[in-house]
Parts: sequence; structure tokens; C-alpha cells
Amino acid sequence: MGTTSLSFDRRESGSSTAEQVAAPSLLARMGAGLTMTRRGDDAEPQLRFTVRGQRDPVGSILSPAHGSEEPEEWRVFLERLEAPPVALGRFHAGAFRALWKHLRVAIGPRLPLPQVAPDDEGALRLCWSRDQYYAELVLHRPDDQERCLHEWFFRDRVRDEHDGSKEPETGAPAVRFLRLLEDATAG
Amino acid sequence: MTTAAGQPLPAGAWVLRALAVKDVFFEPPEHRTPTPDAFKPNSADIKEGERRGLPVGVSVFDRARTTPEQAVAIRCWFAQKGGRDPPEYRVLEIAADQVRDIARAYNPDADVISDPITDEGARDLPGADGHAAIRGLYQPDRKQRQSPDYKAMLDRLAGQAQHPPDACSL
Repeated sequence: MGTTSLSFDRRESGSSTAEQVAAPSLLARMGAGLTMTRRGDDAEPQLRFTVRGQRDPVGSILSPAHGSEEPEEWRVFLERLEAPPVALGRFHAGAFRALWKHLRVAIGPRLPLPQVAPDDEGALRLCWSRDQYYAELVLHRPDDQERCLHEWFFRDRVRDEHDGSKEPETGAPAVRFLRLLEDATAG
Repeated sequence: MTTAAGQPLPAGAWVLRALAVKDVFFEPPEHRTPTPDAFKPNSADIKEGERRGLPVGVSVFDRARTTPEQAVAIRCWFAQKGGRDPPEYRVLEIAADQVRDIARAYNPDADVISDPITDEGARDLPGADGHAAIRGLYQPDRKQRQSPDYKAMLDRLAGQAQHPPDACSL
């Protein structure tokens, strides 16, 4: 089965954020689109399935987590990001949850759970370490513009090839990272 | 034979790295260790270098002079001296020659040198004379620390490290 890469075109309006999820192959052929909306940083993102030419979303409004259950321990972990020992600030925790939702939407339920650990600089690191590959996303603390920048890295341990962000990024994870992680977890 | 302080460990030497695992918030069972973080100088390595006015080195132990149990006991001693409860430790071992091969492709000055503990109270602990340091892995510049080439070098080191069979119970 082929893979579908996703890209996110972010638009902000007031307190809500809409991110157009573009899937160039399958969805384009269907004349359809996906939009993820979020009202406020702590709100649950919602995924809307739209058909070109129609003003309103069709079908049900989906949460990216729908369709497969995440392990209870992971859901509890996500709910308690602001409590010790993780003790993230509210904004940082919201950014972490949003980043995870992006990953789940893009890669789906086969996305393995990451190891999560702090680094010495107050950032939170999600990493996937397997025999064949190592992938990580480092989510930094909010900066003075209240942005939680992130950086990514991926290494194919078998081919000894690697790639990563050259500069910190904001918004959704880079398409390149999603594609690498999707391919790595496809087996 | 003892390697003089500051001198490279001999070819064929193996070193131990004792890592605190206290700070992992979530870890799935299929997660493979070690990861690149195992050889990234941590805050204790950096503080030690600054305190002694020396280049920052990753704290390791010469396998010929220190056992995994002794390495953990020494780390616990320093944790208690700092007023902290000793965390759980994972011990890794790696060949000094492999460290040199991998690290020098990134930094030609990288090396594994003898660095015996001299702190009062700790220098007489069993295995303290086997303390060593991997120099040349520290990147003071944050942007360089986040660079893909730096992380790839650390991940190559992690790929060569293994858990010593006699450290299973630690």
C-alpha cells in the first residue's frame, strides 16, 4: 500500500486556528479535504472532512484519536502533563498535545508510542528508538513570542543516513519528518 | 598498568558509562536503549568541567580498573554528596577505539583520556582511579547541539554501546 503525505497550511482567526490538511494523492482525487480546527491552545483539535464545492463539512466531526484506542497509560500521561513530575506550563502542555495530535492524524494508529523525557534546557523530547531507526522531536519551552518551537531528527540506523531540521520550526511537524517516520513504521 | 591522568586510554580499552534514568517520563516497552542522549554531555559533566577549569568530558570508567557495580556506587556517592537520593542507573560499555573512530569523524580532537577522581572522600572509593573522560563531544553552541550531524554522531556512538552482561542487576 502506498503512503500519503500530509501538509498543513495554517490560518489563524481570532482565538481559533484552522490547519488545512492537504493529502495530495488520495484526497485530491476525491476532491476532498481535511481541516483540523482548534479553538484555543488547550482545546481538543477537531478534524473535519470536506468535499470541494460544499460549504459545510460533511460526515461526522472526528477527533484524530478516534478509530483506535490509545493505551490507557498514554492517555493518562497526556492528561497529566501539567502535574508533577512532568510539570509543564499550560501553554507548553497544550503545544505537546497538539503536536501529538498532528502525528496521530498524519501517521495513524500504527504510530508507536514515544519515549518522553526532558532535556537539560527545559524542552521535552519525544523519541522513537528501534533497531532500524531513531527519530525524535524536541519541543521547546514557549519563547518570548509564546511560540513552542520544535526540532526534528531522523536516522536510518541500517543505512547510516540521517536528516533533520536546520532551524527550529513552529506549527505542524515537517512533511519530511512525517514521511520518514511513516515509512519507518510502515513495516 | 595505570594510565597517567590526562593521557589517552590504551588501544583495546573499554569504558563504562553509568546513566541516571530518573528523568524519563514515559517509556514504551519496545523502546530500545541506548539513545543518542547517552553520550551527550549532561549537566553534571558540564558542571564538572567548569568547576575544574577543564574541557567538558563525558564521564566514563576504564573497564580494566572499575566494575559496573563500582561505577554505580561512585555515581551514587556523588548524588548523595549533592543532597539527592541516588537514582536508578543504567550501565553501558563501549570500546574506546570505537569512540575515537566515530567521534573524530566529527571532531578530530576527540579522545578518551584517564581522569582519576581526586575529590576528597571519593578518590579512595573502589574503582575511583579508573575514572576517565570522553573529550570532544561537548558542543557549547546550542544550534550545533541541535544539528543533525551532531545527533547522528551521538546515535552512532549509542549504536556501538551495549549493556554489560555483568550489570544486569543494577
